Parts: sequence; C-alpha cells; structure tokens
Amino acid sequence: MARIAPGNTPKFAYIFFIIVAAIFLYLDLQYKTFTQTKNFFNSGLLSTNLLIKNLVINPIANIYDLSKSKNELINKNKLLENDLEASKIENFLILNKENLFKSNEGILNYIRSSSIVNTFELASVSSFDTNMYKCCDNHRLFLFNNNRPFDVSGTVINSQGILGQISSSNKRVSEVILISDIDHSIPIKNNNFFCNAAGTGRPRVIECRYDPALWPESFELGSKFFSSGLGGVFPEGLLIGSVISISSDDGEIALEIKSEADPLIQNHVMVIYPNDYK
Amino acid sequence: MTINNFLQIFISILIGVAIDSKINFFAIDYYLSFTFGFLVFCYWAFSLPNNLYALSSFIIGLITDLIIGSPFGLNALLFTVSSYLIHSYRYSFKIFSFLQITIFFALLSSFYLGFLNLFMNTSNFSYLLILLSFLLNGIVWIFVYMIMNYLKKNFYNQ
Repeated sequence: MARIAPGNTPKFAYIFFIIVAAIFLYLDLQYKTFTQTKNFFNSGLLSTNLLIKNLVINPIANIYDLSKSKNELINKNKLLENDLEASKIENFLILNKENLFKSNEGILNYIRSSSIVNTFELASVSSFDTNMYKCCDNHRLFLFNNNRPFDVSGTVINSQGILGQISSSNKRVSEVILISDIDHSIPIKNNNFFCNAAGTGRPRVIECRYDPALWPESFELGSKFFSSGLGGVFPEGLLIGSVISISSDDGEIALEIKSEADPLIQNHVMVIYPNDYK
Repeated sequence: MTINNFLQIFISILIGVAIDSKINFFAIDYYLSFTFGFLVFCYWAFSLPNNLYALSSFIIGLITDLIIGSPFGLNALLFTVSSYLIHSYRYSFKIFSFLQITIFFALLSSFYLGFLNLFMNTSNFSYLLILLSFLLNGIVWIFVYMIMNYLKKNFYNQ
C-alpha cells in the first residue's frame, strides 16, 4: 500500500516558507510594499536587456548586413519607421487640438519647435508584457524616460487615441496604467450622459455602469463615447470608443465599451499634459 | 545540490516561463494557458526529490514573481506548496503508472493556474480556461517529461 506522507519530508521548513510567502503576498496586495523592489528589478532587467542587445545581439545580427553594405539602409529604415510613428501621433494631436488644448498656443509652439519640450514628449515603450495584457487584470506598460521622469498623471496617447496615464516614475522608466486596467477609471460622456468607465481587465474593454432610474438614456450597440474631461486628468472630447455590449445586472445597466486605441500597434507614444493649457 | 546544479534547474525553469509568456499571448484567445515553467519546476521536484526542497522552491518562486510581474510571493507560495505535495507523494509515485502521474501533474498545474487567475485575473476568472488547460497541460507534461529527461541524462551532473 502506498504511503501518503512519508516521514522525512522537512515539514517545518515548508510551513515556515509557506507562511513567509503568504506574508509577502499579503503585504504586496494590501500595502504594495514591494512595488519599489519590483520597479528596481524591472529597471535592472531592462538595462541589462538593452546592454546585451546593443553589445552582443545587434553586432552579431549586423555582421551579415555589414558584409552586404546594407547597414546604412537598415538604420535609415529604422529612423524612417520612428519618424512615421512620431508623425502619426503628431497628426492625431493636430486633428484633436481643439479638444486637447484650450489654447492654440501650446500646439502651435510645439509644431514650431524642433526639440521636445516638457509639455509634450515623445516616448518609446521600454517594455510591455503582452501576455499579462491578454491574460490578466493588470494592464501596464513601461516607457523610457527622456531627460527626466514623466510627471505622474500625464496622459499617454498613440495615433488612435488615449491609452492611459502615467501612474509612477523612477529614474529610468515610467509606468503607464492603461484604461482597461482593473484599477483604472476614466470619466466619459455621450451627449448629456456622464459616467465613470472602469477597466475590465480585458484588452481594450472598459465598462460603464449606471442606474436607469437616474439616467433615463438608452444606448444601442455602436454608440460612441468621448472623454468628459471631468477629473482633470484626461483632455475633453476625445473619442474613447463605442459600445459593444449592453447588459442589465442588479438593476443597473452595464455598457461595455471597446476603446479605439490599441496599445499593441506602436512602439512610440506621446505623453501630454493638456491641463496646463486649460 | 551545487550552485551549478541550482543554476541549471533555475535556467530551465526560466526558459519555461519565457516560452509560457510567448505562447500564452496567442493561446489565451482559445481559453488555453500553458504552464511550461511550472511543469519544468515540477519535473525537477519530481525527479530530484532530495535536491529541490522548501528554500530553493521559495527562492525560484520569488524570482519568477519578479520576472513575470505577479504579486510578490504568489509564485513563491505556489511553488513551495507544490514542492511539498510532490515530496509527500514521492514514494507513492513509484507505484503510480505514467498516466496517473500525468493526471497528478495536470491537476497540480490546474490548481496553479487557478490560483494565479484568482489573484491576477479576478474579474475575468474562467472555469473553461482551467478545464481546457487541465487537458492541455496533461499533454504538455508528457513532452516536458521526455525532453527534460533527455536533457537531465545528457547535461545534468549530480
């Protein structure tokens, strides 16, 4: 007959480490005690990745290209790709300038200036755990800082619209919380209807719940929602997305809205601080 | 266990975790989730029961937490508990058939996945994902077992 629990498994050590791990887990979930440790580790990992990529992988990958004298073309291609991404975002800014900035001075200054200024900054994505984005509730991406860390609450956009906001920064990278993150909510509106849309933890999907007794409005699939500007973080009047599902639950109506902006399409984003111009 | 052995085990688990993150991006659309990293850890705990005890499981779990960005301590807790279960049953495994062992590890990986989802994907918890992943990880275990057995015989010096 098989023995279920043989005697010589060191139970004390197991119990001790299980308790320690449970305490770590509780502290992290309840008080975010290890956030700095995680950020420090992430920064180190990113720097190491970059270093290895630049010193080892890229030179090896370029050997073939060098022998074929295509290196210059490849670099030019990369530059063009970056410029294209930047210009897509600039176009978005120009098209939405009325909504993004209450005064035209800001955007005009930006277009005139060739250098990056503090109020608008292009940033490249340093890491984005796409697996986590699709599997789990936490939707975060990290940006490389430019000359200084991005200001917390800066709005992050790409060429399709609002992605999220800066949630924290350290010396090297800044963390962006996406609007679909379970802990995020964004004030949105449709005509005279206002609502706080919370992230659902599903890619690009946010949810707006309201009591039909208070808001008699009815919506249909495809109804468009815009940022309301309430809360003072996000600019007003930008298209957030359209309704993809309507359900009623506990006397409330839940609207699922699919965001226009897809964080997977570009490696560059822009951080804006539109409230400075209000 | 020497540091060299620990590094070999650790690197193989990290490779498993890296494969997970690459494949799961596509698999999750079909309610499937691979747990290569966890199964590789289980393989080592299963085949080297005298080497992978509480401390090493705890450390490997903590580092995995840092790498995959899960709540700190979650993988450490699950790896330590799994290691305890595997050690508790290590004599029973000798009379188990390979099919029974496969079912055991498929169940274990389903519990692992269930707990991960419980903490990291609370609002979209899916029983379908757990059920389908049970079948998937049972099949994956067979391949993990064969590949790791081959690698252990050829590269791992005790």
